[in-house]
Amino acid sequence: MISLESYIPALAFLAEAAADAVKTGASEMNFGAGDFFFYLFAVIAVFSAFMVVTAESPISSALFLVVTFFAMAAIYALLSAHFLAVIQVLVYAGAIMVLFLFVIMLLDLRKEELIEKRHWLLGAVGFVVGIALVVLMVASFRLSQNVEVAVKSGTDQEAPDAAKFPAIQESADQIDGSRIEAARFGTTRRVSKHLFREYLFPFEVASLLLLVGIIGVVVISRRRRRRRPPGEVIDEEGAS
Amino acid sequence: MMYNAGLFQYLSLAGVLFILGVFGVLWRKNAIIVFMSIELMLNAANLVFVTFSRFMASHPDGYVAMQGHMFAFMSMVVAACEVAVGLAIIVVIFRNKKTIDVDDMNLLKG
Repeated sequence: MISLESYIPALAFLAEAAADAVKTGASEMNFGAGDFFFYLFAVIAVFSAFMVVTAESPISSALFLVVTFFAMAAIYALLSAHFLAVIQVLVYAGAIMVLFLFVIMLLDLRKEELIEKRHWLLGAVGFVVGIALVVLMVASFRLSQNVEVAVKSGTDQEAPDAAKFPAIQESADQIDGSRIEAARFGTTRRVSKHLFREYLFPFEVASLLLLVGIIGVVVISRRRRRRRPPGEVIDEEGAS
Repeated sequence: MMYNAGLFQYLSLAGVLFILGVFGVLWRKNAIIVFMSIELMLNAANLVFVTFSRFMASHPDGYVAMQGHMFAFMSMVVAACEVAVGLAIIVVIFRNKKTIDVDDMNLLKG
């Protein structure tokens, strides 16, 4: 269980990591293109997420949310999660945003209703709660010893980079099997291997969940008409 | 200011996005914008999954590191369902009450 006491080492860990980042950044000046693009898309994502929360009209909120989703897709690509990046664009920036925009257009909202916000203190409470949740995440991360060891070894060496392993063209006896697997990290091939082998059951459950979602939406949004005696004029507005 | 993008930077980005999401849920009254903030938080959680997955990849057991991608994939499925059902609920509420202010949704308050 995660107790309040574990917050303190977590905060210490965060400070340590920040200090490490500053130190390594100052000592080795190898600032690659990947780093540049990370910061570029991170700034875009944070700015547009801020605009999502603060924009007055829901339409501009939705459009800024699209920008956020595209920036997140770029960051997934930087993490060599190519498949997830494509899915992010297709599902979030495509399907989900179209749903949002349609619903915004269906509802005709009054102008004064849009700009209503709560007292700023509640926003400050949200800020504090968010920070507490982040620290909780770090705390649980610290408590799970295995992950910590794995991640430490992961930050010491360079993470596998697809560009560094053009091993597919190398001769067969030079190829280390694990290096090939590392080179394929995040590709559709590796994802599908996992998805259709050890994660086959969750995959099927997900499809069932989508089916339930479709049926649920139809049932919820259907207009229910009152039973009327025959001969009476039925108004098309539909009594709810 | 030349800092390489590592685990800490990616997790900080996820944390900032999550904080913005919580902020939006608590501060805004428009149900649709509250919903978008929830989407932001889901995205931040996905980013944490993918980040840990990537930085575990150079571990000796690197083959298992793709599990983070599976979790992110499943949470995208859940997000899609949640958006569809939630927006349908918002449409029905608007049809009945002619508003989507979350403060006016107090039928179950008792």
